[in-house]
Amino acid sequence: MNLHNLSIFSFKSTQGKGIRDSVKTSLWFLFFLVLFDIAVNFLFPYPTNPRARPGQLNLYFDYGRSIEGKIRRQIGATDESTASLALAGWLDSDNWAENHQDQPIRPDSGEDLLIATYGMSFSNHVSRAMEKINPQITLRLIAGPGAPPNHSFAAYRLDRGHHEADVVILGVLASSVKGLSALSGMTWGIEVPAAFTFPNYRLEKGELKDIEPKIQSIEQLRAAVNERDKWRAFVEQLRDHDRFFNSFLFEQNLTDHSAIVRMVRRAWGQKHLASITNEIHTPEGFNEELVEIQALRVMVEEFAETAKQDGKLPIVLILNDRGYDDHLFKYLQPTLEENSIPFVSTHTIAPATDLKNFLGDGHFTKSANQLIAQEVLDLIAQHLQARERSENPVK
Amino acid sequence: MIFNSVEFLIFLAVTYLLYRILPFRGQNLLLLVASYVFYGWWDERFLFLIVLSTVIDFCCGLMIDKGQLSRHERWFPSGYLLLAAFCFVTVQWNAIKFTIQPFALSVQWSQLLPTALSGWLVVLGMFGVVALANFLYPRLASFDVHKRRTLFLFISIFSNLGILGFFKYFNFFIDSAEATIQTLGMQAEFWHLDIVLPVGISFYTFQTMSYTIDIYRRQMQATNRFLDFALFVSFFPQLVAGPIERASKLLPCLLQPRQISFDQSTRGMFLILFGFFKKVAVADSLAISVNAIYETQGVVSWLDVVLATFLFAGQIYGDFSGYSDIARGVSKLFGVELMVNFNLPYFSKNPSEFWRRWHISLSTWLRDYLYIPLGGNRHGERRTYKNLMTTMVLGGLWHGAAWNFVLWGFYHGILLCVHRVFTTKFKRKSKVTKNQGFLGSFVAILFFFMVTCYGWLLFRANSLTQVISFTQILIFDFGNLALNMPRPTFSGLLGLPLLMSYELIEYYAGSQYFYRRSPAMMRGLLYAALTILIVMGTSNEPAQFIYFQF
Repeated sequence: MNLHNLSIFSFKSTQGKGIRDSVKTSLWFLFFLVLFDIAVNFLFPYPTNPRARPGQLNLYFDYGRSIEGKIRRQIGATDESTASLALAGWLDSDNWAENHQDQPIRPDSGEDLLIATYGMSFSNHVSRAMEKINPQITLRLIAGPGAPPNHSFAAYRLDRGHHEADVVILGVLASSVKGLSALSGMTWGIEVPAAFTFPNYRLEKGELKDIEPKIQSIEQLRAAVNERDKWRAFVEQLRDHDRFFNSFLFEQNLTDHSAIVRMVRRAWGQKHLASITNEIHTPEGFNEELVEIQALRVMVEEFAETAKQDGKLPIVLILNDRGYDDHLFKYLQPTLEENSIPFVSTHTIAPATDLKNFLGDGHFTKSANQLIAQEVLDLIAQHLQARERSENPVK
Repeated sequence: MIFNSVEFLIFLAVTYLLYRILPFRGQNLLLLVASYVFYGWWDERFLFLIVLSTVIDFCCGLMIDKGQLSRHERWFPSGYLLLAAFCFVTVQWNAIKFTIQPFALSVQWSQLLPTALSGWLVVLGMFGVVALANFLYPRLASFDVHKRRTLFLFISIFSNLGILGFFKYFNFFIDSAEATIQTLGMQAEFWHLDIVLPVGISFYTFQTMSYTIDIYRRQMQATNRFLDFALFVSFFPQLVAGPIERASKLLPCLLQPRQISFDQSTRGMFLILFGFFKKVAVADSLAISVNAIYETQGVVSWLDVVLATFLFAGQIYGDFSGYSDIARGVSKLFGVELMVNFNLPYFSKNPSEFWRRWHISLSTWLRDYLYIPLGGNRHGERRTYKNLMTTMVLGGLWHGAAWNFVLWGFYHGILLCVHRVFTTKFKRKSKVTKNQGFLGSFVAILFFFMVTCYGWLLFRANSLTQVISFTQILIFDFGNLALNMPRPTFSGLLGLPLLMSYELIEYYAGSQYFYRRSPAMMRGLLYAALTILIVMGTSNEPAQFIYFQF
């Protein structure tokens, strides 16, 4: 050990003063950090009512709460006292028909077309824009918050036989493709987790194999948050099969009470999310070597094939949102063309590289949605006319 | 490895602790290994280039200064170079896998060394070069002094600029030549190479060149301590983004045992904190807004371009000066003082002052090793303007291999020339320099900031087409206040005013250490505020409200 270098620790008069001064400054520093922590919790508390909308700063300082902490807070004793985000997107096979009673099964009287859309808010917006352009259509919308393709595909599968739609649309959002590696909206929506779950599809010998989540409905989740063993089993499943799961981000503990630790957790979460997202999506496009990504093509093929078998027109709606350029289109294009699957890709209608096409929250603008909707309607008209011609060649 | 990463903080803590318990020689060796780890974290192959530059300049320095190399001074660098070629280029380190969860180390022995001859070419080539150099050595050492000094200076400059030119500018010149021929209506398809630009190559190349040039100018003596010289070339705090240190200042500091005072350590800690604040809280936050405008392929408004460019001025300053602050702070922890690289540049009233305040280590390098050797202002006005333009255009090109950097350099060259014309005329007319007063200074600072910002537009633009289109928007779309640019995140919104206020006080206080005169409570408050903003800045604020409609 070089004692010469350690001489700074000897208390010479000037250095001693400097050290005393630094200790004083450090104590003030800690005091102000603690003061900030207390002040944030006092001034910007997160509403205890799951249905209340938090202010922007209240939300900001709460982004880093553990996922479990946020989920537990969202869940009330009844649906009425549960956050709407926690109620959305569940794929409850046991109660599917009952849970979707509000969705039309056939076209409304006097209207001639039922379109069933499986996706997320983006696909819902486009569908509603279609309805505005052509009021003769009826919509059946099944969606989850920022739902990944595995959710939309599973929803389509569950919904088969429950409706008489003429057209089925599978919405695939580029920024949600990473959710193919997840089992729930909790783990990859770190800041505002959505509780809903969905299967995780893997490709084994060209076949889709799914891992079903242990919790598949809000009732099951409500029971699990109150039963330690059920909750632990679900967390273990996430740990094993959800690429986004991270203990520090997920599990609730005392640090949730500290605003600073919450901010640190949020930063950690961002980095964690980015590192996994970067494995899935590189600047050149989606990583085709990942089995989850490979599964997407098979999902699209199966969607189109089964829809055709059911006598429905399948359409794949490729939603290229900000930061993803036309990568999703490029990835799916060979599959779509080889299998003659009708599709609409937004990259030519409302490019992801043009800010003007997007709202501040990341969604397409109203005018962009209208353009996309028109394109989908044109595609439907073109295919239905072609089908009609082939069915009645004399006309 | 980048400063704003968890890896770096662990790396720094480990290096610092080891440094404190080692004797002087061990400290230098530790810093050298740490510097190689720091650089190799990004890509170990390019460490070979650093070692190549080190060996060339070490030998050239000694040959210029003393005219001979001892046996040790020949064989040690030769072995070092061959070892570097083997370790950094031939060995396939990705055959070694290390995981923490589960804790495991596995080696795929069959892939550790290449089986194809091409994988060994660099080592074999270096064997050839080393053998040739040692074979030619007696003949070269027998040259007369002037010839020998000039030859070895040429070898040093040619090798350094050759490496820099190949890795940084090869494709740029090929593309430019191709485009020029195509505009003449002829077909041209040249050979393109898939070259990765080694991080920091421009910085360490200029730093190491200053060593041989200073020896040639007899401003310093060559060192015979190879490992200390290797540390001078690769010293990790300033290896990747400067400051570009002069050998005459940094090398003596590395050759002697260093004392670290408590005061120096606390200053260093503050610089690190402040640097992180500038980089993480301010620059990274502003980058989100700036990129949204400069990366878009859609239509943007006058207000978008103006705001994005102003914010880019803040971003580049926060980013670059923040890096320099961290570099200086980290160096202080190891007892090494690096030069101040940024001195409140946006308080400049004219281009000449700006270049005395902005990236000082580069501007002084260009002045001492390019502008003055070109003749400086010693050969009449016309020649002075020519020298200014040449220096600034090459300075622009130094920043990156693209025409917009050349244009940026050209723009600053023009500003310097125009400023010189006016100040020369002004001095002739009135020999008494007038003090501008508060309002005059304020207007001058504000005006020159605007002028600087147009330069940043040239610098940030992705292409010449974007330069033209944004300039057209600034002129013809004047007053269009439609705003598409997303706002910066909270850390930027709070951090930018804090940074501006801090620098304003520093400007009037006239000392970068003004904060040390304030009471402990105020300093505690400042450190806490910076820490909180850094924590806020480490995560970006995404458009998360997207899911609230459900």
